[in-house]
Amino acid sequence: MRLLGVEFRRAFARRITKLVFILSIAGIIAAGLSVFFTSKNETIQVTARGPKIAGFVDACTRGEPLPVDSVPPLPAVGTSARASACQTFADQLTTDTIDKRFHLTNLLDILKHVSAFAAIIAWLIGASFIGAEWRSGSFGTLLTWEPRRFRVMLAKAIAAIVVSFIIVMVLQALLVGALYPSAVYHGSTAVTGSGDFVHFPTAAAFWRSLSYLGLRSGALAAGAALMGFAIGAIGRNTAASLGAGFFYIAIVEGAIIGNFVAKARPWLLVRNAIVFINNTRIDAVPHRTPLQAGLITFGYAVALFFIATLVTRARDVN
Amino acid sequence: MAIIEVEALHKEFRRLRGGRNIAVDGLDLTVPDGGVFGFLGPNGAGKTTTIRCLLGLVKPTAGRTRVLNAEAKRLHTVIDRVGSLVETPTFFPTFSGRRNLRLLARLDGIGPAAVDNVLDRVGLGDRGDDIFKNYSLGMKQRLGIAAALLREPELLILDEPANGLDPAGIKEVRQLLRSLADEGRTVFISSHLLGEVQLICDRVAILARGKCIAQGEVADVLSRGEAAQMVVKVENLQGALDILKGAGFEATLEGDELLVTAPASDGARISRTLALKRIYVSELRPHAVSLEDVFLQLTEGGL
Repeated sequence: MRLLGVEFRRAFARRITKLVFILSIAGIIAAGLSVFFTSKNETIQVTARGPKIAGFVDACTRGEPLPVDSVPPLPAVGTSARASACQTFADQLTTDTIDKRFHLTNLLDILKHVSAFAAIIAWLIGASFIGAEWRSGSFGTLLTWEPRRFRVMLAKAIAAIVVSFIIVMVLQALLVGALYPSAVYHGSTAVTGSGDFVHFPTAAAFWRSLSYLGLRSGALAAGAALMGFAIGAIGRNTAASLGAGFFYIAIVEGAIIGNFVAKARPWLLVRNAIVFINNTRIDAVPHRTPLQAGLITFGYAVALFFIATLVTRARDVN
Repeated sequence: MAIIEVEALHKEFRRLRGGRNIAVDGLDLTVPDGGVFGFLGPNGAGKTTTIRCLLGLVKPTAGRTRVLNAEAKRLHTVIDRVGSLVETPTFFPTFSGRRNLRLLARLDGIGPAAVDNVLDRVGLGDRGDDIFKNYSLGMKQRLGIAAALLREPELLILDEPANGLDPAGIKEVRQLLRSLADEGRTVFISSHLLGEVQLICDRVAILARGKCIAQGEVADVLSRGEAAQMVVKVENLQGALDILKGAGFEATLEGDELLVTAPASDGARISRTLALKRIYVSELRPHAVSLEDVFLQLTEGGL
């Protein structure tokens, strides 16, 4: 436990940890301000355009030519369903262009996209946590105090995982806090109903969904930190870990296996991570449930860690 | 009782372009409990590799090491009784010296007062809050020694502890190591500063090409140097030289004295030989052999 405590202290005291945290907070503040000043409460404008939309719906209901590139399949002219379908079509066409409000429910999409960024940050934290030690030589010094390398590796890995998880959770909370005023003053905080932005039965259900997404994102970051740590330990270098991670994800998975080895696709790291974060099946890996995807992702991370530990135990420390 | 035992230690490193480099070649070493033990050898002799093997940093290719009666695999059971410094001390570069030591101290539940104490002891009391990467080599070395002292260890294993220190620092470290030995600890040091080693060590081992070529008390090792010589001073140097050679001694003229290859026990015979020829000795003493002389003679092949 002492070893773990020391590793936590060191992890939080590291400059890169502080730097990543400060830069992320700066980014969050910038994002909050940007969204606040670019979003507008345009409910009034929507109303003002009402007659134009009404004319579009009327023309659509009567089966007249419409000023759009393509029209989706609609019920036959003259049926009662036609008017309703035309109204939905008009809503779809106009929502993006005229609704500049920031909806609280947008946070779900934002956190999903941010999870990839969080995973990269966590990979960096994990990789530098061990890579910097090898570079400075302090890993050897530590081994003269605790020669059991498995314990040392485990304590460091746990510290990297927990620190990454905490940082990502705090940053997500700050991001939600930074964007919330935009929803309150320049948008909508409504989350219940059946529209595009409001589809939760209760507000609690929305917050629960957002929290679970945050937790999944934090968990993915923890897994990424463990992978970064493991590869950093094998390569004894931070840059090696970052380079190997990029090479594998962009080249091996993205360009080679993803395109040419169909059987391997369900086992690809990125696709499983996407299923896990989205909490829904995707076409690329239709048979993979989110739970399975999460377990596979962490299985890879844990396997890498054990390989790294075996390598560290076997190699000399010069 | 031996506090360090090394038996048939063998360590090979693979070369990048094939082949193997033998760093330690069947080393046998016994370090008794107490005192200061000097571990000497030229560059590349295998000193640091041996120390790394003792501390579990490097796995021997063959042979075994025991520290405080613990085999290498059980090193963790005694590591809290061992303080060590391997080559240039390495700590977290962006942390202060004090913070680095406090992190290490926490591993053993050692309080901050002990950290302050060892910093004072090595002369870093007022520089402990400086960032480690800004330390001079000598300060880094002092911090490394401080870290080694933190546990109040029974055994100190120090690899070149005086490396980078100025003359005053070297003297301080010498006094510190001697005082630690006088407290009953065993100090095992590798060093190139043979004059320093001779001043503080009770026993030494000399390593060359990975093998131990001499081991024992300093006086014993010194006696293994060049054949014993006697210094003879007389007024008539040339006459004395001829007489001694005529009497079967091997003698040479060195400046204002003669060097006669003979053990100290032959002093009376030398004196009598010269006196019989009416040459009277003004000074007759054994020629002092330094550890450096012995070291150079014994390691000549390895240099």
